[in-house]
Amino acid sequence: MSTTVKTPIGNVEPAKPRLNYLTNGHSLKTWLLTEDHKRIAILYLISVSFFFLLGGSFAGMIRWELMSPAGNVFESDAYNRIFTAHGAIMVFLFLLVAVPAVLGNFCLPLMIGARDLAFPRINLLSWYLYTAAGTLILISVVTGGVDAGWTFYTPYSSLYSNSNVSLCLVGVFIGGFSSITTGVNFIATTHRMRAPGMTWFRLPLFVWAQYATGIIMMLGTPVVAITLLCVVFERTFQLPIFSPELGGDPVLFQHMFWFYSHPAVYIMVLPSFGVISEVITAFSRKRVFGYHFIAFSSLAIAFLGFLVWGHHMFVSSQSMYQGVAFSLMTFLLAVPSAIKIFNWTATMWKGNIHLNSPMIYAIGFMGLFLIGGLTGLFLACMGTDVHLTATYFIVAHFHYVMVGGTVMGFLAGIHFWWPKMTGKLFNDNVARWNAIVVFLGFNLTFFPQFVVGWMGMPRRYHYYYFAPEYQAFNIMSTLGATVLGIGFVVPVCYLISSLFKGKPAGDNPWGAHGLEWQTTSPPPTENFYYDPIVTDDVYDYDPVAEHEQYLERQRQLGAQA
Amino acid sequence: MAKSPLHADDHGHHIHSRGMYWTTAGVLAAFMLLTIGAAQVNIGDYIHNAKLGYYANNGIAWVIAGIKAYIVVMYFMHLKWASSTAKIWALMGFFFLPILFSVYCDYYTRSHEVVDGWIPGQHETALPRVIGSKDQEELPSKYANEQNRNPKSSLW
Amino acid sequence: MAAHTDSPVKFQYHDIDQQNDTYIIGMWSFMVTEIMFFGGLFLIYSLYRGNYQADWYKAHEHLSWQWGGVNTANLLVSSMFMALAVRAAQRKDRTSVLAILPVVIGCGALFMAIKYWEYSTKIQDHLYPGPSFTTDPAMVHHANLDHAQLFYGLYFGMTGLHGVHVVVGMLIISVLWLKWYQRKKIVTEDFIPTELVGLYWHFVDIVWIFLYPLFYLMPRPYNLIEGGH
Repeated sequence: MSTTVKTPIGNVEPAKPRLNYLTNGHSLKTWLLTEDHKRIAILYLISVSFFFLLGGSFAGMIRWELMSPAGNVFESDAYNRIFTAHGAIMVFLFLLVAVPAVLGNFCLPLMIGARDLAFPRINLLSWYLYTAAGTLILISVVTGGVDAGWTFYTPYSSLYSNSNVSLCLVGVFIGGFSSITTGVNFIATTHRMRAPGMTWFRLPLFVWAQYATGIIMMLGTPVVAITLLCVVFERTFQLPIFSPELGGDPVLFQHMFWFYSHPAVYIMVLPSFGVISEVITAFSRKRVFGYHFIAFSSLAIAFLGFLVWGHHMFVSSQSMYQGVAFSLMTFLLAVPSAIKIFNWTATMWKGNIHLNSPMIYAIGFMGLFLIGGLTGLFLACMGTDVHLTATYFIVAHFHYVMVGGTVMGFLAGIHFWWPKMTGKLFNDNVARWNAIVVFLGFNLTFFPQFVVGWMGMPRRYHYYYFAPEYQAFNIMSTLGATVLGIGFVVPVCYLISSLFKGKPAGDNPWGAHGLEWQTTSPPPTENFYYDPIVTDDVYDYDPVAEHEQYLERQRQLGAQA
Repeated sequence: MAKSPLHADDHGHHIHSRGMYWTTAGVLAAFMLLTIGAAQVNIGDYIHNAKLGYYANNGIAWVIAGIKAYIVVMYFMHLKWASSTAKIWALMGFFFLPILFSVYCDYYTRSHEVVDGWIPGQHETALPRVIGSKDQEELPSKYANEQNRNPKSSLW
Repeated sequence: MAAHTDSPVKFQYHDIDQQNDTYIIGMWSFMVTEIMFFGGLFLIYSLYRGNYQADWYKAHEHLSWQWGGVNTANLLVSSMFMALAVRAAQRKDRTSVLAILPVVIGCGALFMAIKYWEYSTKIQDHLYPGPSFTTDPAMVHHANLDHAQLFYGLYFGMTGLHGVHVVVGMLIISVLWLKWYQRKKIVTEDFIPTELVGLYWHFVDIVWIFLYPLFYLMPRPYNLIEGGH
């Protein structure tokens, strides 16, 4: 990216020893009361990783239980609480938050050349709300758990469930506010905080993805907030809202829940799309193919995502006509997703592809998301959906999208920006092998679930003694989950060890373009020493020159070691 | 700091006269009285069409509420003088809310389905598919007050 | 950062115009979330009312449209004073702001007092949904008791949430008044904080503009069957 420098920021003089955002204050207070978007991103990274590993351990319990058809590890009730805890923690405390709040928070201001997000204090508030939400959900899990499933369908959740539904829902509600504040921040920042010369069509695609995510966060989240609040009202204040015995409609809850929760899938996966756009371009050393198409497909997904919620309700009492409309819209939604995949593939074509760990995660993402997306079309057909709904086919489908999409994108992004965040290089060889382990472990876990789901294994059952032929697939799946679990723990180890033993990264270890690579690693609190002025778009790679520069950098790094 | 060229358009705030606010409040009060007044009149009695009159009554209430909200948004909330980005965002909610209300398509088409097994009453089902339908009316209720049951609902 | 503490412009902004414009955009986008928040409730309300028109009409007759009207006028007046407070803030007229904001808070308090009185009479009449809901059809003007319960469920839910917004607004305005009283530069040098609080307060007014006709001024349904006389 071509930039020129302008006004120095604040009283920072380049000649002085520079403080970066990590060294600018060491006390706990400077972390917990920070308004620096980069520090808040680190806070988010720590808390999100904690909840990811917690949710993962619940997944481990599920896989443990399903190893045998008899279901003799947990009681049915305990199993219900375990899969609810897995779903609620993973969805509300990891997937919805991970990429936007960690990578988006860290990179968005850097990428557009701003000194911070528009509302730093609200950003901090969003982390505290997230922490409060996490605490409440944790309390609800620890003090007996919730057995309503992460979807909290009424009337079970409102009238019958004898578990900590209200507490958990209040947690989710507060978490929604955290999401909204993040969205407001991203939207306002993208609109008004761009550096001079950073026009809309010079924005990195990651920023476009975050902007589209912000739109969904702001328009969808309040609807689910009020829906879940209604369930809380119903449970605690006895206000009948979805009560069928008084003439209310529990299916209306599903409508309103999925009005948010389907777009929420795009809150989870759109930011990852943004990460992948950055990573694929950077490691192909090539101008991104079809910039405008990728940018507008993000907005199209954000918009169309609001028009497909009914495909979660094909087997509810929803009208057939509405079902047909939703089915059509769902097929339409495959178009912008496919546009992205095609454009990434075309970007790689004839590029100088460097298979560093972020790139391997990104390629893995494309494969997994493709499978997840295509199996989604099975479920978008009303006819096949009747057969497949509430089976392990659907479980496998959304894990391919959620884990294969969001988690792979998150890992790709973390590996990509880790040198920028910490100023340290991690062991890329280990990371590459680990990326392959994650990819294989993932497929081993979830591909058998497609098969067993097609055979008819229902989700949320903790035994299957009536069909022992499912066991082979479940054992495969559990084996894969073990591999996957190792694949998720290993990065924690080598990334943390890189903090102490890693070589200094330099400003731009990957040779990527973009404003965030033009400041130091780690960046100073003000992000830049000079206000940047942008003069060209972000992906102006020259493949030949880039490759030579890259080789030169590798030589230098070898010489340092 | 130099003013950046991107933000150079005129966002200087206007200070409006006190009269503008008084006028706005006066108009709002007039509309408030109008909506109260309109609610006291049963239009159906005058046009001898109860159904149309009912819809007219509802429509008038909604239109007046909409106008009042528009006035508050434009004048009290200064949207009239805000940047176009703020205007777009202010409109965004009113654009996406109708999408939420497309839930109505479901409820209005439920009674038009063609597949036999889906028509309530003709086939045995575990639960009444249509809430407030005949099936449900026969369920015992603690507060049953059968005389005053609503006639079969129009919506679902 | 330290270099800028004496200025109302935060360090991440270039100038006051950029900051003010960003705040306004942020506030309006937050307002959108509030619209969607109440929009969900309006959806529930409209579906149920469409389905149980006659019963809901009968149940609503217990509400006093006169007191609802008083509250509407009350919020309208408070909204106007809030707008005048913003105007005074634009003119950096501290005395007027300090004088006007208590009037706005007072209107909010009056609103909540009337609301409290309305709620307590409803609860005394056993019109709060749940096991204690009245079994006497005359109390709900011979509406179906189940559907009347649904009506009062949404009545308490929607006006209650609106009431929560009013209380939050009163608290925010009190804090704003305190900042003005303490001559904090954040409010005296820049009118935007006052304007943002004003936007929120007007939004609360707008919600009531819709709630009032929906709950207090229902037209008589065409399929109404008078019963129980």
